[in-house]
Amino acid sequence: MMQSIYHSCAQRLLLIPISVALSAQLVQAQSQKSATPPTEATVSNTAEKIPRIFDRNPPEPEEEVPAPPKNAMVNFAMDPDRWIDVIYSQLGGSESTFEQFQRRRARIALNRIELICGLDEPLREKVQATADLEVQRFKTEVLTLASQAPRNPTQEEYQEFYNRIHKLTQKYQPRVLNQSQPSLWQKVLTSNLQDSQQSAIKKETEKRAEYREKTLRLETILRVSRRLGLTAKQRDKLEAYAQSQPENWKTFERAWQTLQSFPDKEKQNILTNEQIQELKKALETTDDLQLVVREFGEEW
Amino acid sequence: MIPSQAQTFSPLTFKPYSMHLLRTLGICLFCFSNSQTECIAQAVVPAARLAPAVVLAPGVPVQNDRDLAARRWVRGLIQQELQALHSLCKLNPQQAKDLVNTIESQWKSKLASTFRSYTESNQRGGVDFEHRVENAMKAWVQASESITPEQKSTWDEELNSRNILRQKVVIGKMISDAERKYGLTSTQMAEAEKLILERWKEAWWVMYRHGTTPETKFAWISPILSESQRTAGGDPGGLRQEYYTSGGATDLPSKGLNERLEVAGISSDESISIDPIAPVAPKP
Repeated sequence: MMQSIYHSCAQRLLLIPISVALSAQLVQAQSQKSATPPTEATVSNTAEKIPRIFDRNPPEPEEEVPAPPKNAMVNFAMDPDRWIDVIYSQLGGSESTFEQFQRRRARIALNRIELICGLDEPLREKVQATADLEVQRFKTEVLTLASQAPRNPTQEEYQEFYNRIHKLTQKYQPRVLNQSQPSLWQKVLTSNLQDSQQSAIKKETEKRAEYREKTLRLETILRVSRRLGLTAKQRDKLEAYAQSQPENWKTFERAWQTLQSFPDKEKQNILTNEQIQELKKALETTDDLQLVVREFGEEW
Repeated sequence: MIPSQAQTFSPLTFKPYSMHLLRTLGICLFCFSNSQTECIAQAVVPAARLAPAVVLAPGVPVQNDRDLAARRWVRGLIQQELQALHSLCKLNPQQAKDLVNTIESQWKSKLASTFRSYTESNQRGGVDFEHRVENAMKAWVQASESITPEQKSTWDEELNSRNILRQKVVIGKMISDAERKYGLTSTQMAEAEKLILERWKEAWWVMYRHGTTPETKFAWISPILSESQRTAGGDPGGLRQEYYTSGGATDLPSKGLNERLEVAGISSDESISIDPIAPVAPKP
């Protein structure tokens, strides 16, 4: 019993110096580790953790802005971003509006063509992708042009730059959209359609154009009727004349001149004596603002 | 059941007693109101009979140049309406005299709101002179006792034909708008025309005359659209331009305030004053 107690105590006493030695080694190792210089990674981590109030790095030297020329426009300094807005405003809205409109335009045209002469899905996707590509190309052109914009332009520079904007945006202006060269997607579509399909589309386009023109003509006749006090029979007679010369009956002023230049026999055929006397008068003008609405039907 | 005098008042007896009283009162009121209604109904005179007896307020003098222009246009339109009426209905001298005298004496009062609207209107929109004069003329023709029912119906046909033309113009504009917006084909345009015609409102013409094309709602024409058109929806912007121009030719005829109205060679009576009042200088 006594022997066993003695052995256990001796073992414990032997263990103490060993554990002390091991702990001393561990402390030494740790102290060595902390004494080594910090690597770049540790520095950056620390920098991220501790925000600095003042940036110790010297600021980068700013690009020297050239002094505005003597004849520069006063108070006119625009950065490229503002010019981008100006360019898109020429097309009636923002960049996103333009993009949306062009995509919709292609989609609506494709929907219509599908009804007129049928359209297979791969071709439809191809055309829509071309339209998207075309929009992206235009956006790049706008960015390029805006980056070339003069910062403090003179009047001449400003005018010149505006002409460049006009040239770029012209083909997307509503009034010349149908008259200008067809878009890339329209070319792609045409090249993939058969002759019979193309002629069907052409006929359909003519019918729709005729509908719009007829509405315009009727409105002009209504205005002439109001000015001269025509009856239903007289309006019917006039409509036949208007149909034979549609170009002269697109506006009220032009129709009035046309009617004035009618031979007397024809005037007497349509109008009463009082109306013929009234027709000799010039049209009155007014200073009131008048709303003009122009519908440009899609050619596709 | 009426409680006897001997019965004392208590919450239990009050309820049936009050119910009885209320019922009796209700019956009395009903009888009284019926007799009153009959009395009122007997006294009512149709508004149409009263119309000629209504005393019109005297015309307001010319306020400024805009007021003067408005009056000249109104007179011009009235003169043309008279001529159109004569050419369609062939008025006899008595009919012409009655009508022209009535109009000459009433036009300032009847259309006073038109001059005022034009004088006070802002520059956007305007006043629909044509429609207002047409309505006034219709009322004069209908109220005239000398004009025969056949003549009145002929004039109504003429007005109807004008309305049809207006419908064609406005609906045509709406369809052109929808054609661009939804990509309609010519067949769909014809179908849409019928659908919109069913929903025609006279207010659309007034709206159009004031410079706004009524909107073609998607729901109206949705049944005639293809599946892909329905999915694509409408394009709000696009190939449409709206802008205001200052000035331009007006389609309104003009007649001087010192020229008498005439129809079928008969002018308004000399006893009716038409002396124009000189335009008043605008107040500072």
